Amino acid sequence: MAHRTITLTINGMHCASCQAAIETALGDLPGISEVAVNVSAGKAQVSYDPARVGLAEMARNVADVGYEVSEDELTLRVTGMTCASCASKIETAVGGLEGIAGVVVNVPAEMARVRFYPSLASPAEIRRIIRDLGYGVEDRADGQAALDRERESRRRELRRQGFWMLVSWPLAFLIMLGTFREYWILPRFVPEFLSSRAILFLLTTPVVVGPGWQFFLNSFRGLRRGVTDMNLLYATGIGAAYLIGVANTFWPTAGFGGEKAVFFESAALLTAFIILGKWLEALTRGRTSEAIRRLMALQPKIARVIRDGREIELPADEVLTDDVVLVRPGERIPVDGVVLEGYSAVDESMLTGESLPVEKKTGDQVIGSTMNKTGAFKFQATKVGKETALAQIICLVEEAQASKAPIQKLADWVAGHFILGVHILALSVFFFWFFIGYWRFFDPQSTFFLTPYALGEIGVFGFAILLSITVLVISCPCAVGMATPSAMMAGTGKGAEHGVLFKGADAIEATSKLQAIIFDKTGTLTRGEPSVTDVQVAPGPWHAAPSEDEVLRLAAIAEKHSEHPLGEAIIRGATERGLAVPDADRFNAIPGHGVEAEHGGRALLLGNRKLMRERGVDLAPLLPQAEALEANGKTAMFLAVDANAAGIIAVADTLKEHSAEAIARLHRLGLEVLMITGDNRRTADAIARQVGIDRVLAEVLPQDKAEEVKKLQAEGKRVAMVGDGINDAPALAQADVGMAIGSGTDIAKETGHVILIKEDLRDVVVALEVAKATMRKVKENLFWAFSYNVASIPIGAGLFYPLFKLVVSPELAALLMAVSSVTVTLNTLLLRRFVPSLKREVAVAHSPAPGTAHDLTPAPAGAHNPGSPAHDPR
Amino acid sequence: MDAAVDKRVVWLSALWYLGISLAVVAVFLILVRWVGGYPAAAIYGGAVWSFLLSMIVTMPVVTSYVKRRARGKG
Repeated sequence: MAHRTITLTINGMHCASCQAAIETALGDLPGISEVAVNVSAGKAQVSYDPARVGLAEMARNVADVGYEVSEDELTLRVTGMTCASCASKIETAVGGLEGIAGVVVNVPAEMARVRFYPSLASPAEIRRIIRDLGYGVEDRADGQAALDRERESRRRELRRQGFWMLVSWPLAFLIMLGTFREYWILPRFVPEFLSSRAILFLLTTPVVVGPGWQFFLNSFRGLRRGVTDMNLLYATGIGAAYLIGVANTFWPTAGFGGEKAVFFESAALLTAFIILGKWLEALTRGRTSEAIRRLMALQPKIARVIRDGREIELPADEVLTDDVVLVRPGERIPVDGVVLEGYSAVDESMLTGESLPVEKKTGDQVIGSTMNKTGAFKFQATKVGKETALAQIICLVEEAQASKAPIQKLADWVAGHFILGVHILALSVFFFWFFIGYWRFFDPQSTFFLTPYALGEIGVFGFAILLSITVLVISCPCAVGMATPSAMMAGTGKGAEHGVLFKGADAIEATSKLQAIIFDKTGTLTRGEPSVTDVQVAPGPWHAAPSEDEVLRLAAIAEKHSEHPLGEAIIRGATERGLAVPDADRFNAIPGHGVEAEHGGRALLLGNRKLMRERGVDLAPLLPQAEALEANGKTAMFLAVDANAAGIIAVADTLKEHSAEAIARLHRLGLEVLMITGDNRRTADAIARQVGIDRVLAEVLPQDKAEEVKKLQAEGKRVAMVGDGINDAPALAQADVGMAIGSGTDIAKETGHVILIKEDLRDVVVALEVAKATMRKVKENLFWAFSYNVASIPIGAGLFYPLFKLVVSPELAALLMAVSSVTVTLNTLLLRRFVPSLKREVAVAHSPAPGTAHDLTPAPAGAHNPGSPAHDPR
Repeated sequence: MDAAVDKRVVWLSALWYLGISLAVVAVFLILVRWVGGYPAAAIYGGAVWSFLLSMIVTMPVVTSYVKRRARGKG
């Protein structure tokens, strides 16, 4: 086989050794005959045998030695896709181009993401091939523009299919009346001329060449590129029914079933039902991406900026970093920034899911697109345009929606290979009924389902082709293809609504299967900074009326000039209790032991046992209490006044507000919860006891955390790691699901598969519940979709005909097919009603009980309660 | 892929899928003769339908296979 020569752009090369490394890495591959690397140009020219080695292997080998074959990503908006086979068609055609590293098409999101090697493929070529398949292609727009375009495109599709419905349905109705004129009470109302075959031909032809033409055109475009899709099934079904009708109209004795088997009503109703299905799909498809549209709609259009001392109004996207922006009550904050002046409460619920307004004062961060509630304030813009938290969230959600979950592989495989399989089945069905079935089982009195239309004169060819066409139409894999992506879109959107960002569909699937969750201790379960937890007083000569406040006050005075974290915690503790902390007259830090100070003529000594022993302070009365505190993981510091033991101050890293509740909820979900920390076993156990954790991995160095995750995975568990996303990065990456918590507005920097915007551990539970609800929806959708096909194909193929003498007409098949797709989409839309258990309980707790002073009307029987379990769509 | 290769792919694949589809029609006609008693229109109609479905099945499979091979040869 002939060799080819290509030029790869390689990133990361600096010198001759880089050149050698890459030449060796590529040269080692079988099928590579020559490699010439040019370091200064950043290029490698490779001659290779395409039958033996591919671009992906070359890129992998280059990556193995630490470089990167330059890869570009193109995100396109593709319009005109109707179901999974469209996605499969585009993926096959684009993936077949040279230089394509990967392509993912998402039908509900109308998005195609293509990774390509720029030296081998070009965006223009990719766009051209998609356009050649009959779809519209545009570059993805950001923000409001994308929202407008998406809405406009959906309206266009609705208008187009709506117009074709107006054409096809009245005509199809007339054709149906004409065809069945002899039955029931119709002879009394339907004029005889309408049943004339010539009139039926004249009525059917505009349906086939008007509304039906799109199917012929699209299947031709696909076939030209060597790919098939649903349009081909429609075109074959409609075309065959119409041509047989034409043959039996003008040449009734030719032997195609005669004048009683014109099939015009099949061709017309088939077209009308397929168009109805497409219209319904266009109507419901946009709803699954509602979350992203809601996020986009949050972006304010106008900002009030102070420039050159004057207040001016600008479009929000023209605000620059460092601009001073003014916000009044009731206005949306245009970009991210830091408050310079003023005070207000801001509703951040749309981005973080936090239901209560958050107070903002000088120095606090504000997030663009959140709603200012009460006061006016000025802030300095720190992030604008694509850097804002909202822009990053939208980007992340869009990327997640464009990704594919492992569970989708089966559905994609089915949808991708189904069309060919269905045609093979249709051919087999035709052969069976033509050579065997008709002669053995055909009964001239048999009818179509739900019609009195007898098949009497249909003939062997008419009967066999009728069942063959029905198989083509009834087997649509649209529902199978839509089942997973539509639910994933709704799930990622639902997560974003509650401040949980899934980085991909695979993250949702993995989260739903978790069995164990490891929490990092410091900064995740705990606040990550020590604070005063206990103050104990020793009676004695040091004070006439000793009190906790006096012990804390004196300790804070002693530590006033200390920079030790424990000292800072004591000063903070005293200030929080409203104690005045004057400067000490004299201060001396004793490294590793504590501090000594003088205040009001009294000698203060604060430190550990060793310091007290060295200075001859008798600690005997305090030791039992100190040991008890230390057993609970707290650091006990002794205070001595004038060499007399005065008290103990215990300092510890404290739990975050909702840690214990989150762990309890995770236990209720049946998960094993672990804590990982570098702290000693005693401290770690104490924290674990307080928070209710089952298993503690203590004294683990940061670099060994990933190893601990691996060990747990080796036990066969699917593990999530929850951390702050910075120093836990390797462990987050090793875990099946890495959850980075409390990212705030810095979403782009986060590692991990799931990002929790707020610093509220209960959002781990929200993430799990959203993931489980989404996967339940995926499974329900797949069940309905596969059940439809499993049940309908044998019926359509005439499996039960020998028993019941009934045949499914092609038009009924088209109706069933449309119903299956719409059922899956509607089932997905139920996910919009999903509320995490935490929010449900809060809603119930806050809603006044019937019969209280707030609500004196008794609740009617069966009253709708949004918080009740019955409301849960799961 | 250049135009010459493209043209060769089109011809080569057409040759293959037409050949396979005609083979299916031949099988159909053999079965018709073996079973016997079919009206002429049913035979013609059946042959056309078998040919059409066979073309639809083979055209994309054969085209992408030939395209892959042609790309390999450069």
